[in-house]
Order: sequence, then structure tokens, then C-alpha cells
Amino acid sequence: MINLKQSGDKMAEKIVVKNLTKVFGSRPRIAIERLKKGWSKRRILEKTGQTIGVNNVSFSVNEGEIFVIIGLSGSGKSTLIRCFNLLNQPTSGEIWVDGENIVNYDKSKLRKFRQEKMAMVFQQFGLFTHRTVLGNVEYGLEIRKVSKEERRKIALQAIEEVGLKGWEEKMPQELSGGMQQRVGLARALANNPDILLMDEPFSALDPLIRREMQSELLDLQSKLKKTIIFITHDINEAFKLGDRVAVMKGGSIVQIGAPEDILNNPSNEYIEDFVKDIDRTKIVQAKDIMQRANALVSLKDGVRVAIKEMQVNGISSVYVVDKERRIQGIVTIDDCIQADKDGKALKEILKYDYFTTDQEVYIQELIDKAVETKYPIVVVNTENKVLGIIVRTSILTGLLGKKNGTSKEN
Amino acid sequence: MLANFAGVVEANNKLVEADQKPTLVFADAGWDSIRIHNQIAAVIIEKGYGYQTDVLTGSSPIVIKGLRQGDIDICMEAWTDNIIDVYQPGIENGEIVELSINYDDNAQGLYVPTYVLKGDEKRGIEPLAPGLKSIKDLPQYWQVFKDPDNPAQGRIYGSPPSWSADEILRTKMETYQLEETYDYFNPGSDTALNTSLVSAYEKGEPWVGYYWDPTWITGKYDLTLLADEPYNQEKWDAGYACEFPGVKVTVAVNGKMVEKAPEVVAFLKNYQTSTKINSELLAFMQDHGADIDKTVTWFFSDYEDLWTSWIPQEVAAVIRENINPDQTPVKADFTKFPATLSFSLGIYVEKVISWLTENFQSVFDWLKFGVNGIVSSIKKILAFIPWFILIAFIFLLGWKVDQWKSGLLYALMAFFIGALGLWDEMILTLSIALTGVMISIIFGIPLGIYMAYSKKMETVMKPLLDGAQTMPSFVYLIPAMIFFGLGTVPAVFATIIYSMPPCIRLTNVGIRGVPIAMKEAAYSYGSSAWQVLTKVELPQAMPTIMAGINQTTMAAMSMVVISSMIGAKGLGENVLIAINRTDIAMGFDAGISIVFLAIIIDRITQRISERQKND
Repeated sequence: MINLKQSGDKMAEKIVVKNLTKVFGSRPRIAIERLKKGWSKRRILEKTGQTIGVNNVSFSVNEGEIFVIIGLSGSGKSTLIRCFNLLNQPTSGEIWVDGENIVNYDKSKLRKFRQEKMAMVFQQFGLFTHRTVLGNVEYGLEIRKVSKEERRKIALQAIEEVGLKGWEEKMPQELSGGMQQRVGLARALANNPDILLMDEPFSALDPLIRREMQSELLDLQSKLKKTIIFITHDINEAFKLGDRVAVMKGGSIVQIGAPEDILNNPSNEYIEDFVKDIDRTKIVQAKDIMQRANALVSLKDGVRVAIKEMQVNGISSVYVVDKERRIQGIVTIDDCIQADKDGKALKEILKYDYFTTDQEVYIQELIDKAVETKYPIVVVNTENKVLGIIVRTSILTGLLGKKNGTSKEN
Repeated sequence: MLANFAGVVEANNKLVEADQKPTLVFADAGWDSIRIHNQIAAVIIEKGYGYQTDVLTGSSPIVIKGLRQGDIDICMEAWTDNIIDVYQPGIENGEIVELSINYDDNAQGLYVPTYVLKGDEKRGIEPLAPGLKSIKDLPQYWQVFKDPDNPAQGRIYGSPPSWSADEILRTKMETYQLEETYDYFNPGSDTALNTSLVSAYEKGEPWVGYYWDPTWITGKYDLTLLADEPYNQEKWDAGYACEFPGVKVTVAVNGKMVEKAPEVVAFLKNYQTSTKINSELLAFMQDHGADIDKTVTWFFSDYEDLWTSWIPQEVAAVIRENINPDQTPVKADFTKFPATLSFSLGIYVEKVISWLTENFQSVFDWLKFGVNGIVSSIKKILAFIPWFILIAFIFLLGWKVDQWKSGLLYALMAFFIGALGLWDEMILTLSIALTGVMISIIFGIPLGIYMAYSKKMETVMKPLLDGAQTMPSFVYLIPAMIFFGLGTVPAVFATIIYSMPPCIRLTNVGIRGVPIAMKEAAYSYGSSAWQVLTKVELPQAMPTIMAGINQTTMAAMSMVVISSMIGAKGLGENVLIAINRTDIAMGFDAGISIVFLAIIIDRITQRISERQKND
């Protein structure tokens, strides 16, 4: 047995992969020997005719995370994901799921494992064209011999979850690509697996639909908290979805990390190339570039405190909050000086033409606001508490890949 | 150089000669003695008179038709009584000229293998009908000759249809009241009759039926002609209550021969043999690998007195010179495949088949019993349904799978078949075809699935299937006949072999065509192989499999019709009789009925398969 909770890890490791290798061909052992001797993939193919799909890969996937595997075509990512449910039988190595090495499963154990632990969503959907949407979604349950009423109930629920209510009796080929993949997703969800394997599920969809599906997957995941292994060749998708991203090249994993880490500290040139053409506006979120709001004025403070605060920080406006740090408005230096003369209270000179945003928003969506606004953008949480502010320059520097711009506005 | 030049001149001379003298065409009506006579006459005509000769093959009435129309010039054996309907009018209007009587001391009637009467100690056969002497004893022994299609009666193998013996025997059955205990079985053709006799003989089984002498069979096998009243005209006219008179077997030629080849006509006028000579020739031939050339060479050396008496001295001298192999130097002719290299593959197949029949007879009997049961129950069900209900059913089926107009059309077609008086025949054809299709599907689909799963199996099966479908369908009749005799069961058997390949093939194609992504998806949800097959692959492949079943059905229909040659009853039998009688009206009625039946079945199964596809 393997120790699931390693010291220092807050999250449980759901899947642990150790030294996994997959060779395609009739004499895989020879290929493995040659690999150990340090032969290159190409040389092995030329000399022995064996193709190395996955080359000695080790990593772990945490429970409840979206683990994205990215790579160019031929990098072995699809081969790797097919090892998790043994659609590809690994040539050597171990895959531990919930403390059991699944590689050695016999037929009946494997079937049970596939029925209960994992479900897969395919790039080409893999829907059964002779069954209705409902029939497709019911499939996994039917295989498990769940009673008719029960599986109908579960399937209808899954269909509703993916937004296909009312389409139950349609045939898959009557639906658009996006809707077909929703069926694929519903089929997987109906099985209520711990682990979702998604093999380039959105690659066949057009960009608009793809983005929509990505967001919906994130929504679903926030509710369901599955362990998801997600394959893609689209770096934007990887960084948008992934809690952690593994980059594959030539059958090996060349870097694993959170999207930001990979983006900012590419471990080698290959990854640098890979992330070069990434659209950072879709990766970098408000929380990545916001600054601490050092200068804040409480509502009960007077106008003078506000003036002093601005003078100290060298700024021309300051946000006003209540005692719970909830945003109330903004005051400018000019208004404050005038109010001081007129004896007005802070409350009377509050302005409201600022923008707020939540911390998860991508800077892509902040660019327009940044251009329009006179004041820094306020990052708030759901209770309207101020978490930080974003100044225009930090959006621009965020685009260039430098974290936490230091310049301040005004 | 000079020699070559001479050769060219010689060849040119031959060409000129060939131009001047027409090619004379012999009738080959299918049995061995006529072939031997053809060959003998051909040698004399070619070597002695310098004509080219050729042969046209057909059933007896057809070659006589050909003789009358001038497609055929010479018929060496016209069994006049058997073909009287076509022959006599030809004589009367001068289309045919009868030149001589080849022989008339022949015999025909009902034969049984002698071991049935006396047993055969060497082969361990008990005499099954020791008291059977004459036709009149037959009712006592009907159980010995049980009809496999109808075990409540005996079976008498009848004459090939359209031979006059056919009509005579049917009447004789009534006259002697044999029909109470025996079924008069139409063997479909003389070849089928031969096969049934030979295979029964080889197995040592009882057999009673029409046969005639001389043939190689009567030469080779020990058969006994059942006694009958001695021939006299009075009894003959009163329901053929006596033995057959000897049939006049004549040499007949087309009327124009007299001008076209007068010297040949003169020669043929002298052509005469006897039953004895014929039997000797046939036995010789049978003993020498059925080689006609050898037999004829033997004839020319051993019967010199006979053949020289037919022709003038000088012609005989020329022939003698030409046929002596020592005097003709053998030139290497590379345009001809060397005869010494030839061998027959069929011999081995024959050996395997006879080994099978010897060792697995009980299996075949068991199969026979089973298949017979299926056919007769389908037949009973179909025959039990009143005709109008069956037509209504066809209408509804057509409506359901297509539209009411189609249903109406199919119903009208079925009605039309009934109106032609062929309803019962249609039911028979249908029940044999349905049995064949059912069994084909039961075996074909699993085989197709196996083929789709196993690369090896596909490699083995593909050429077999190609071969099975390209092989002329007639060929299947032979093993079917040998294993199962004549009648319904071999027809079903032949139908199965012929109609199963499309079912296997398209099941294979259908299953292989299921997208891998779909199968992977099914497996990824933990399906067992059986679940993948039944829940994904078969439903996915169903449109293709249905197309295969449609093809299978059509193949079965066509084979059932052909199977009439080995005694399958139904629409095909009518076609066959019509061919033999060259009866246009009868042939057309039966033919159009087959077409209509085929259209009904084809359209309905096709629509079903299309609907599968669209769903």
C-alpha cells in the first residue's frame, strides 16, 4: 500500500503514476531495454520498429483538481490518458488509483473499475448513433445493470445538468457538435465517477462554443469537485482550466506546475516556445495583477484624513470603505479640499463612477474598463469587501508577463 | 525454309477446303452413348469426308428443336417415342429426315438394384424385398422405398420431365394403382436421376425408379428390370398396362443436309449398332476414366468390320490411314496444352465427398430429418393460412415498411401469381427459400462476427466466400444431391451454401465498420465484450446486416428455382418442365410468378434495411 497523504500535502493524491511506459509494437521489451540504454525514440523506431508512446512518466494527480496534460500532436498525451482506464495497456510502470495498482487488474476487476471509478469523454464524442440522447446517457448505468427507472432518473438529471433538457429523445446526429459533447459529458457524469478523463473534449468544437463549454465545465466542477484529467493541445485552454498543467514532449513530461508557474518560469526552451504565443489576457486574472490597497479611508474618518492619506501616498483619489472594508465610493483630492473649505462631510462628496471586478476575472475583460476609467479598478469579493486595486499600468505589464507592476497612477 | 513454305501452302489449302465444306453440328443431348456415336461419326466425317464438325449441347427436346431449325445438323440418337411431340411434326414437314435406325432393341421401365432383391453378401446388404419380381409386387414393399419428403409413402423415381416416359409412367401408376402407396417423384433431369441412382447404389440403399438400357449405369451396376405384362398394343393403349416396347433410336438429320452434305447423308443411312454394342462401348468407357476419345479409338480398332460396312472402301482406307497413331508424327504444338499434364482436381473432391457419405451417413440422415421438419412446418403454416389473409398480410407489410401504394402493388402481384394457378407452387418455393434463409442467417451472422473479430478467419474466409459466390450455382447441386439424394432437403442445402456468403460477408463488413471511437467509448464504461457486441456493434451494423439478409434472400430465391433440377418442387419445377417442353406459355407464367415473388421479397426486405439505416 502506498501512503496516500504525504506529509506537507494538504490534498490527497487520487492518482499516482510511477515510471509509466507505453510502447506500441510487437516487441515492447526490446524497446524498453534500449530506452534504459539511453537510445532516442527515433533510433528505437528505426532499429526495432517499436514506437514509444509514453516514456517513463511519473506524477500524481490530487483529488478534486483539474489536471491538464498539454502537448503537441504525437507528444503522447492521448496515449497517456488512455492508460488510466487501460484502453492502452501500459508496457511497464504502475498506476495507483485510491491505493490500488490498476495495471494488474484482471478482466472483471477492470470492468468494475471502469464502471465505477472512471468515465471518459472523447474528442470525437464516441456517441452511439443508434441510441437517443437519453439512451446514450443511460449507457454506463445499463452496463452496471441499474434498474430501468433508476437509470432513467439519473440520466435525466445528468442531461439537465449539462443543459440539454428537452433533447432527451433526439438522436445524437441531430445535435450540433457542442450539444453532442454535452451528451458525452452527461454520459460520463451519469455514472458519477470519481475521476473524469477528458481526451481533447473541446478540440472538435468551434472557438465560441469551446469557450462556452470551458466555462460550463468550470461551473460544473465547482459543484461536483471531481478529479479531472484533461487533455488538450490548446495552451489557452490548459491555463484556463488547469489547476495544474503537465507539458508533454516526445512521450515525456517536461514540466508540471500551476499555469502561472509555467508561464513565468518556463523550465526550458521548449516550454517557452509553447507558451510564447499564448494570449496572456486570457490567462492572467485580476488577482494576479492587483495591488494591496494601502490607501483606504473609512467612512467615519473625516475629509482631512482623506487628504492626508492622499498626500502620503502621492495619489489624487482614494477609495472609501465602511468598517467591514466594504466599498462605499471614491473621493478626489480636489473635492476633499473644497469640502474642507465648505465644511462638508466625506459622505457628501462620494463619487461612484469607478469600476469593480472580482478576482477571478481575466484581464482581457478589464482592458476596456482600464481605458475608460479615471480611477484604479477595485477588486472586491462577493460581499463587496475590497481585496485590492488594479491600476492601468499593471494591466499592461501583466500582458508583458511581469507580475505585479510597481508603478502607481497619479 | 522450303519445308516451312510447303506448310503454309498446305494450311492455305485446308482453309480453302474448310471454306467450301460447311461445319456439321452434332446434337449432344447429354448422355454418354450419344456422345460416343457423335465422336464415331465425327471421326468418319472429318477424316473421311473432310468436313469440320462441332457439337451443341441441350436437353433432348431442345436439341430436336435445334435440329428442326437447322442450328443442329445431325442427331445420332433420337429416342423417338420420348420426344414424339417435337420429333414427329419435324418429320412430317420435312425439317427432319430420318436416315436410319441406330438401334431399337433397348429396354426401359422400372429398375431396382439387384441387391434389393437378392442382397449382397460382400457388402453386407440384406435382401430388403426378396419377393419383389414385377411391378405389381411393388405395393407390398412401399416401406422399403420410403419417400424422405413424405415418409407415409414410398417413392418411385420417375422419368425426367417432358420425356414421353414421364406421361406413360404417371398413367401406369394409376393403372396399377401404385399411387396409393407410392409418390411419383419428378427428378428434374436425367442427370439428377443418374445421381440419385448412383448414390443410392454406392450406399447400398433401396431405390426404385425409371431407367433405361443401354447406359453405362446398366453396364456397370447390377440392376434388375421389374417384370411387367408382355407388350401388346391393346394393353398398351389401355393405360400402358404392359412393358415398354423397344424405342426406335434413330439417326436423324436436318432436312437441308441432303443437299449440303450428300455423301455424309449416304454414310449415315448405313449407320447401325445394337444395344449390345452400346453397352460394351459404355462399359469400356466407364472402365477407362470416362474417356470418349479412348473409347472411340478402341471402337475403330475392335469394330472394324462394323464401321467399314457403313462407308465405301476408299473412304475407309483414308480413315484407316488417318487414325493410325503410328503414322501421324506427333508435332509439338505449343498452342495446345499438353494432355499428359492434365489431371482432375475434382477426383479428390469426389473422394472426400464419398468418404463423407460413407462415414457420416447418420449425420446426414439426422440433418435431413431436421431440415425436412423445418420445411414442412413452414409449408404447413403457409398452407394453413387462407390465401386472402396471406395477401392481406403482404399488403399490410408493404404498407408498414413503405406506403400503402407499395403494399397494394405487392398484394396485386401475389394475387396475380394465384390467378395464374401457381399459388401452391409459390408456397412450396417460399417455404424452401425461407428455410434456407433462416438457416443461412443462423449460421451466417455468427460466422460474420467471428470473421470481423479475427484477422486470420477473414483471411481464410474471404477467398472462400468469393469462390462460393462466383462458383456457378449449379455446381452446388451435385454435393447436395450426393449427401441428401433428390428432393426438398438437398434443395435447402444447396440454397444455404449459395445464399449464406452475402450474409457472412456483410455482417463482417458491418461490424468492421463500427467506428473505433464508439467501441472504445463502450469499453471505457466497463462493457464486457458481449455487451459491446450486442449493445453497440450489432445495432450499429444492423443496416449493413439487413442489406446482407436482403441479398441472401434473393440468392435463396434464385437457388430454389435452380434446385428444381434436383427435384425441388415449386415454381422452378414449372420453369424446368417448360424448358424441356419448350412450352413458352408455361415458362412465362412460372417465370413471371418468380419475378413477382422476388420483387415482393426484395422490396420488403430492402425497405426494412433502409429504414434501419435512417433510424
